[in-house]
Amino acid sequence: MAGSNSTECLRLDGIDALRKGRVVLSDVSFTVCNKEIVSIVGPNGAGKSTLFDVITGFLKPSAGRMYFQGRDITTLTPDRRCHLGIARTFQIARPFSGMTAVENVIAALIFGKPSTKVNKFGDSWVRDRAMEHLKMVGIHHKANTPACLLTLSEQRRLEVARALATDPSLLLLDEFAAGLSPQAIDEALALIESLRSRGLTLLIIDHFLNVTVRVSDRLVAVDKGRVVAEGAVKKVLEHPAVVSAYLGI
Amino acid sequence: MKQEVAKATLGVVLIIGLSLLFMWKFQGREDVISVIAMAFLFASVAFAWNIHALSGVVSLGHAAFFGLGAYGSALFAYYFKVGSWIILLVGGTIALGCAVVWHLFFEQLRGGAYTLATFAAAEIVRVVVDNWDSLTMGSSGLTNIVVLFSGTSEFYLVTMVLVIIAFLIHWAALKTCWGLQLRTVREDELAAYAIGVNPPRVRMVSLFVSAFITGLCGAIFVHRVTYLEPSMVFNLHISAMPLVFSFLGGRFTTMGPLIGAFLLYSVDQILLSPFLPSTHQAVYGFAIVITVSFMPNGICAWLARIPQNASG
Amino acid sequence: MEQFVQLFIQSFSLGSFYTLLALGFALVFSVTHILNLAHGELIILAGYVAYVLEQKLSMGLWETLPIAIAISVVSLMVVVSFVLHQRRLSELHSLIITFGIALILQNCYLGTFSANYRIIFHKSRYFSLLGGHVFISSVQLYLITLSLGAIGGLYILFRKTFIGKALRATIQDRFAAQMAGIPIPRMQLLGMVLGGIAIGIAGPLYARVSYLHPAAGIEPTIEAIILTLFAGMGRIRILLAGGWLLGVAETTTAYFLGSQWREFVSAMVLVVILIFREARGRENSV
Repeated sequence: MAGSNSTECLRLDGIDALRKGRVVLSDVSFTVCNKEIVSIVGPNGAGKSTLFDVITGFLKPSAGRMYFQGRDITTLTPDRRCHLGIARTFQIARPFSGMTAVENVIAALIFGKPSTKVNKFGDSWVRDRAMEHLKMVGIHHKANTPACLLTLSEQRRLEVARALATDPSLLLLDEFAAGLSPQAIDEALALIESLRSRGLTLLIIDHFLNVTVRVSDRLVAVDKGRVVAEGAVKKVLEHPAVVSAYLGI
Repeated sequence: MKQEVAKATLGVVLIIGLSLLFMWKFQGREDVISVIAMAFLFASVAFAWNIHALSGVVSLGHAAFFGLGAYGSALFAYYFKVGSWIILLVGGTIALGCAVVWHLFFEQLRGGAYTLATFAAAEIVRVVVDNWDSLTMGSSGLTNIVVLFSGTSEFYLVTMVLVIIAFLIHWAALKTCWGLQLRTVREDELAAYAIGVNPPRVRMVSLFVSAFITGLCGAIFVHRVTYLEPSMVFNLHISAMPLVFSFLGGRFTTMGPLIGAFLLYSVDQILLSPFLPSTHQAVYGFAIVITVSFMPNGICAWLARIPQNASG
Repeated sequence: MEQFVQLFIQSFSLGSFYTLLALGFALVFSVTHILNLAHGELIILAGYVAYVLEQKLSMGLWETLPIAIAISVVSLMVVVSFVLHQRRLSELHSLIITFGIALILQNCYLGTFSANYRIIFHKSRYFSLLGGHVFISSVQLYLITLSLGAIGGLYILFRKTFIGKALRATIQDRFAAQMAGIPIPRMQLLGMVLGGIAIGIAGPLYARVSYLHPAAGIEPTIEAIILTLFAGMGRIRILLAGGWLLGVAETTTAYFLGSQWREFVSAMVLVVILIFREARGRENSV
């Protein structure tokens, strides 16, 4: 376990999952500690996104249990998990396309935590906080643009802002760095560092191994629905199973 | 938010003001008052339909709710010899029961599949009511149904109150927190789930509210016309009307369905019906085709766009 | 025993006819992805045309068919091309517009033919089978021959001719077909013409087996949707099998419960098929 703060944040225990009758995850177990950055790596079709769907409740596992901050969340729906503090982005950005960028974030601010009072809706402070989130990801100048008119990378940043607006303690970023230019990658890494400094736990899917491994504390390597290696970055990258999964041998 | 509340209040004042103005203006013209009252009634159905549609699905089966509300209320009054206003609520509740069944079976359906399913579901309800002779008198119909409204003006006032209630709920479905929830659900269900909205529950609530109001409208309708047969309420026309009114007036405006109902229903009843007694309802079909093809956001948005286009 | 053979004959003829009813809908849906809710109304239109020609002008079925076909082809082309030229076209969009067209047509029928129930009166001749205990009527023979003839013709077109193969390619993958040099608009036109022919044959037959009235279109529409969803796109044999199954389902219901429950069965089957398709599509996930 990396660092001294080894309090458990998320624990998966023997998760099996099916999609259209096919086994896509089998016996997946691992633990993420608080304030850790863990990357999930693996080739195409390894089950990374499925794993995210299971953790956030979009896909019900056929076996196994999940615990978040010590609490069993296996049967909770995605909205309940969001209320508990698990937020996610999607591999292909899913903004509310008819709404402006700031409205997207406002919605997340209001519904992300059930304790947010209804009467604050429309009040200027909700808007201000939404703008703060947009500023953090660097698209505050497009706050009043309809989300469908944003570029792909702006949509992806909007997703991060929206996920952050739900005030999570665990944030799952799906293919966060895919298709970014080198400069954008530096920005993205800076964003991740600033998230870490805010005390968030991060779970990142990275297909290309090139970006997030630089900031990750640990890696979890997945192949064919199984965890093939887990641990410190260097150790996992040199693990024979990982090498063979990537090279296809 | 305060601004929106002010607008809603203005809307209510406007409805009351205009309807009282009509009542005064058309004093003694029972036929006109009656048409306006029916326009109010169907505007309420349109509001109800749109509350459901705002959750992102299109129903072609609201005739089932309307008809069940009508039959439920009429039969309850008949079998239990009740003649008070409570029976209206019975109508609404029976429609709500039907909505529960819809919810159980159609929860997973979206888009075209949902629309087709509602279309077929209305047909199922019609056949059952039509053939369950021992309960519903089947196709021979019911006559001498309890009259709840002593006169046209009373009916007029009741429908006015009804349309105000429907307007307020519809306003809430657009402008309040609930409205924002509905909006996230119809824009992207998975993303809504991810930010802490529960789409199945949001859709369920909108369907139930919609069904209850529609059933209530059906009950009020039947206690005005006082006779009932299956083809009167379980037909495509009743399912089409709220859709037409909402699309015509504008589905995303608080007043849209009411404006649509007023424009189309009164034109239909006052101008077309006397001259084309059997084909006048084709105007609803034309209204669907024209609005969907040329002004997808309704007549208000369309009118608002013209000056913009002209200037550049 | 004889009862069951009789039921079987009835199911077989009705089922073949249902396939014919669905053919136009399925073709249009496969080629253009439009769910045409006005499909039934077009069949009723062909039915009314046949009714007028045969009852009022006392023409025979064989003289009426070409006229009914011509009218159906033209009207289907008008409807479908109108829908196709919409700017934002989705499945739902096409449903709503064609629903509007269906309403217009229904009210036009109401104005022209009034709400009376009409049927082409046909003096059936009965032919006895199996030693005289089982009968097949001339209407049933018409249903079977014309339906199977049309379906078989289409099948041969699909399998044996170049243009039919191009049409099939269009149905299976529009973009790939386009890249192979198949002109999609022309294929869509062909689909409409073939669909129109099927409707034109179905209409006059419909007017013989069932009553025509302005709102009668719902039933054939629902049956067409059922079979099309059941069979998927461009699979004629499964369409025919589905037609027979539906024929059996409806005939047995009519026999045991009474014919007024037939519509109930078809609507119920549609709902079940829709739910089943969806369940197969998503499984496990939320």
